[in-house]
Amino acid sequence: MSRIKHRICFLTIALSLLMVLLFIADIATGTTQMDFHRIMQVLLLGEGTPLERSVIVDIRLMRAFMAVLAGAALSISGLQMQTLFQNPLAGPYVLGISSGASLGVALFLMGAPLLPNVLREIGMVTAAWIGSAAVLALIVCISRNIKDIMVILIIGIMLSSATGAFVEVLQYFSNETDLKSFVIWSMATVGEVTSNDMTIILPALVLGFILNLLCLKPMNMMLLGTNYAVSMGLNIKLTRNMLFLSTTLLAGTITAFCGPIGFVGLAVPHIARLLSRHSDRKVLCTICILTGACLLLCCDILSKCLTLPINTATSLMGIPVIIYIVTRKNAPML
Amino acid sequence: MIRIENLGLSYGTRTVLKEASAQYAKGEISALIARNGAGKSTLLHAICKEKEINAGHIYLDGNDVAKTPANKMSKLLSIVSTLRTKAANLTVKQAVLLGRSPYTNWLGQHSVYDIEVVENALSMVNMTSYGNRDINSLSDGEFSRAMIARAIAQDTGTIILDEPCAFLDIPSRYEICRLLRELAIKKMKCIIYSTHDIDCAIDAVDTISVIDNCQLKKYDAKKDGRQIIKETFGI
Repeated sequence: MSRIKHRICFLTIALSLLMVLLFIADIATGTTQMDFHRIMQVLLLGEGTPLERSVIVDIRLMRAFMAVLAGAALSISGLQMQTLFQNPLAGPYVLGISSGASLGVALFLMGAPLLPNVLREIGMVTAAWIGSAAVLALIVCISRNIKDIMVILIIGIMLSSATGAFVEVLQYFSNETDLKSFVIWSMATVGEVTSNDMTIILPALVLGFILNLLCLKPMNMMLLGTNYAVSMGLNIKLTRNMLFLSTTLLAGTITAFCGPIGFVGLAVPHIARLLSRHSDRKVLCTICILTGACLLLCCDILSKCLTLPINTATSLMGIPVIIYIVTRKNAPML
Repeated sequence: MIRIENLGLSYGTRTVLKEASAQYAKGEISALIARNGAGKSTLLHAICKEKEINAGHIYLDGNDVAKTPANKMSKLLSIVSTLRTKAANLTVKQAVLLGRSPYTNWLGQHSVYDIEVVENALSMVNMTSYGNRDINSLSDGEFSRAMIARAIAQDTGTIILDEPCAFLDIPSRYEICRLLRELAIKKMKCIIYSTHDIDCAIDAVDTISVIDNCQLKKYDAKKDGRQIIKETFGI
């Protein structure tokens, strides 16, 4: 028992250190060449010209911070969905959060003539958020009286496809400029967030994490299957709705501000399982947060160095992990 | 203790029980036998409050199941199913510790007492040395015993098992039956389990319950078990 605890302790410290290192490395990389020593001076001692300060604090620090938040939030959301659906290929987007957000953004960018004036004022982020919340609310409504979680999964996937079809219609009829803005949004970035946005992002994520905290014991109880969980006194409907809400807050907010970042939410819980070799959601969530942050920082550094969209980097890193996981011999995967 | 009064039960369009009554005492172990589709699982689910009943009442230690909230139910009755978990890296001890969930705080932190209960439960099923084994590395028989230990750890007066011997080889079946009998005698649990293996059950149980003609009939296993089976199934 204590050997396991020591390993988890060591892993947590190692991942935290790695995260700090990657965080600094992420700040140090960028299109504007800057001396590392100089960056540290600006960052820690508050020196430097207004231009330097703006590049390092407003752009790079914010971007690295956002990468940490996005990695952590998407990973937790992925772990929640895998546990809830008892399915290793579930992720933050199985409930249609990304397609809902796409629909919101597509309507905002390309369907503008269709919308009343008020809706054109709300901005892309709100449009994305409303889109994902609407799709999720629809799923919760439809699945209110459904016991079998598999059916809800299928409903989620079907609604995603339906929303996708509608987005395609909008794309087909839109002009080039709008289409390009939409495609760029769908490639995702963590670099477009301002300190103003943080006043929305942080409360939403904190609420999502608190809900996740309340769901730790229920998620553990679900490990043996829903029957056992219910027989041990779990209110399955309440837990389900709390997890849905938490995932909307975590993944929905990140998607609204950064675009649909793929594969992180799906791959990180598996990496965390491999690293920690532990099933307790309390341990797994901690490791997920750290691993997710590290992975997204890596992806961000990679995307900056190669000037690629971040989704390319997350796919490059996430897909091999998932293939490795599912091809292992009779490996249980939750 | 389970008391069933004038129970009406159905699934789909099929009537399983009509005005059925029966009583199971503390320390009694009973095997539930019926043909496939006759409603064994439906009855067990009804006792666990997983299925709504049409008429009548089911009482667990005097509490009407229909009116008992889930958190109270979890301290009256525990279940054992043959369904294997998909959880990775779950050790036997952690799985059995989950049985303490009704008694732990909102984070699921367990006390020294919880650990003690779990260790006793593991020794009841002869699995003390399995504590740190991954639950997915167990054979079906060992897994069944681990799940029984989990039910013991949940510390309820009644334990319901849905076909605990279904996938087991012959020695494991006898082992499980012997274990359940020991549990009923030593811990005064009220145990009902559904099974198709009459031969194995007959030496272990006090009574045999049969769902026949929408009635729940109870027979003394020692006295007339074998003959009743012949009559019920017409073999």
